[in-house]
Amino acid sequence: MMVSIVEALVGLFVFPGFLFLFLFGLLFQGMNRKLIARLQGRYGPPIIQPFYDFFKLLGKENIVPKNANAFWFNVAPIIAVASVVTLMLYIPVGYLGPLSPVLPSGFGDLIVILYLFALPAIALIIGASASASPYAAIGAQRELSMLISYEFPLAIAIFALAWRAGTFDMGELFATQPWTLGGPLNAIGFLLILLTALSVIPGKVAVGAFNIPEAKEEIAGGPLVEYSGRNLALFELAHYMKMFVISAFIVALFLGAPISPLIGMSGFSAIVVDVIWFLFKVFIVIFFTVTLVAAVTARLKITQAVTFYWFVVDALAIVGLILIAADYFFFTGVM
Amino acid sequence: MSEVIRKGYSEFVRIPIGPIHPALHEPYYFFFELEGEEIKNVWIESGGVHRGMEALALNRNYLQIIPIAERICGICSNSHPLAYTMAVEDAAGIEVPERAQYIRVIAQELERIHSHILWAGLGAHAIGLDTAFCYLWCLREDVLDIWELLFGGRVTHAVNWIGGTKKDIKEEDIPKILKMLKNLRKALPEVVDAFLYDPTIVRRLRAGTLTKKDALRLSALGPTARGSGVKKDVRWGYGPLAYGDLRDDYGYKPIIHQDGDVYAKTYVRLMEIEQSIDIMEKALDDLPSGPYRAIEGKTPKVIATLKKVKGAEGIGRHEAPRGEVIHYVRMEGGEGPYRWRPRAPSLNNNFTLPAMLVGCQVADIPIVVASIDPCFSCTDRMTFIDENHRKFVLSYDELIKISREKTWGDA
Repeated sequence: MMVSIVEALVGLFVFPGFLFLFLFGLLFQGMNRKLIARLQGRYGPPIIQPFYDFFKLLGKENIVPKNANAFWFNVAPIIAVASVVTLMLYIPVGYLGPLSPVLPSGFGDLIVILYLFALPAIALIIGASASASPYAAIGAQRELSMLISYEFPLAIAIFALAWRAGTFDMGELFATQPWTLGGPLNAIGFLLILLTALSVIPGKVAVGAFNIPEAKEEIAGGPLVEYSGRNLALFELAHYMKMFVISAFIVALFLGAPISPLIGMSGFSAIVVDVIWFLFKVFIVIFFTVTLVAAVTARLKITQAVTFYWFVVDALAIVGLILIAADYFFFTGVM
Repeated sequence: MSEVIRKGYSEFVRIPIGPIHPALHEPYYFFFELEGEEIKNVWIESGGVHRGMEALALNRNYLQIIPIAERICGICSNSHPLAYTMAVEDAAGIEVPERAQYIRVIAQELERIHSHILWAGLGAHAIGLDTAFCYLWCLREDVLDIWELLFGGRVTHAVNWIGGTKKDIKEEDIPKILKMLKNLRKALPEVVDAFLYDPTIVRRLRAGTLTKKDALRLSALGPTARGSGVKKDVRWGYGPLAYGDLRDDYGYKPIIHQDGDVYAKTYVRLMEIEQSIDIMEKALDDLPSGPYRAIEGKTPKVIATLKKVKGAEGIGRHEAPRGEVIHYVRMEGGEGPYRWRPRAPSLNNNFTLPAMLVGCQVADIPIVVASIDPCFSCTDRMTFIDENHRKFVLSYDELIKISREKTWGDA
């Protein structure tokens, strides 16, 4: 499928690319903050507070520490934002149709997505290592430890789905509902896989129990400790966009069913309804995996967090995988 | 800490924490040597917030020192003036009326409740659980309202007066206090449940062990000592004020825990909130009638009485929420004391920190530092600088010599 230049540019910068992600990333972060505040018995900031913060930071002085490697220090936040925006281009926002497949050959590869998901964290590590601060160094160490702990369960979850659906194409995976691929055993297996994928989100977004790399009470913001002004604004933006994108990714893979066929709509209005329905699901996922986790858990130590992902979440994923395989080999049979 | 340590070679990673850091609420300097996340060595350095309290007091009379003593610590703002008035009363031989002693006990226990709730909130914040912080500080608001109702101030309470208290407790206020205590008692089990049984919180609180031996060697005080199994509580050991009566009549005893880690200290503090509620209820029940001041009349009368005392020394000991507060007063006639020397419990407790922190992880630093409920600015009494305005450190013997000279002249 060929895509025109205009279509590609609109896709990259407007929908579902930068502008869309910018609006909903910051908006969902605002809602997240407001809900955490309400759960804690506070009033909380206005919902559009992240927008205020972002534009205020853009106008602030951008300080580069004396001993820092200025090139990598300045480039890291741009890599972070760029990688998150690129990720969004692979994710179907609730429908498959005009403006949705912006890449020349369908939606491209799940493996590319998996690697792209590691990029924001790696950008943060690069930026932290370039900033010549002991706190940032500790933060970078912790970010790396978190990366190796949550990537494995996420990979198991994704490959279980890809194997069962028989494709790595994001568009086809979006159209497939993993629950319907086999018998009840398969459905239970995918429920466990979904739980695994959901429990990766707080680690990726670094909230609540997994707010270990940034840990403001311990290492004063960790990787971001030396960042200010425009660079900090970009890192914060990348962070909120990442929260949106990882949730959207999980929703598109596991909970992607559109609502328009159910209520018998078609054409442009169906797309609008599907996008809203998709955003609603993303919001629900963010509420349970980010807001609630941030409100009710205490921060773990890095060793405890790694143990949690390697033993608890991995065990969950592997049990899910075994159930799916059992269903495939004993009940559903080879297709 | 010397420049040699700071600049010399080391095989470990070195990070400074402080004087300004989110984990610390007051200026203090920690210098860590790390291997990965594990702490290998710690040095601490105080002296960041010397406020010259004692120098301020030299130009003031006995009653004007009470507000200064109140401002030594924002949280123990009743313990310090209380210990000061006890020291003056001890030196001048003033017998405090029984009613005043009971009012002081009530005020003191109210302070303990408020301080321990505040601590639990800060502890929760140190491990990143801001929800508990918000709920606990909400509970504390009710206690502050009672302070306002009884004595007029939420943070600086102005309870104490030499020879008694500044204000009396009115009969019609007692039901309101009891109601607040009842509500608090109802809300408390939830807090205890969260701190002592919630898996993520307990996992974080199992850190920073202070052994009983170390606690005795470093003469730790208050919940820091009691969390290590040392039975040390001025209220029940020495029995000042009406505590003697309460101990004998109701059999209260210090709350201790043997583990010595942050969890143990948390246990001690949370149980003490409950004990303090009990004590307050009993004290309000038993509140005797009679005068609430030993010296009738206003400021000039009190000053005139104290002016007559010459060549007397007094010690005021009291159990603040953080440990034992000692105030020393020497009276040589005149409108104010010749020498006033307060000692806050954090002075002892701060030096238990290196013993607790070695072997912990970086992630444990905020909660372990918070576990002694440090009050860094309360402890700073002096800073030595040479002619180039550089700080220097005095040895133990030099310090003793200088203190003796300051107190007794050239002895």
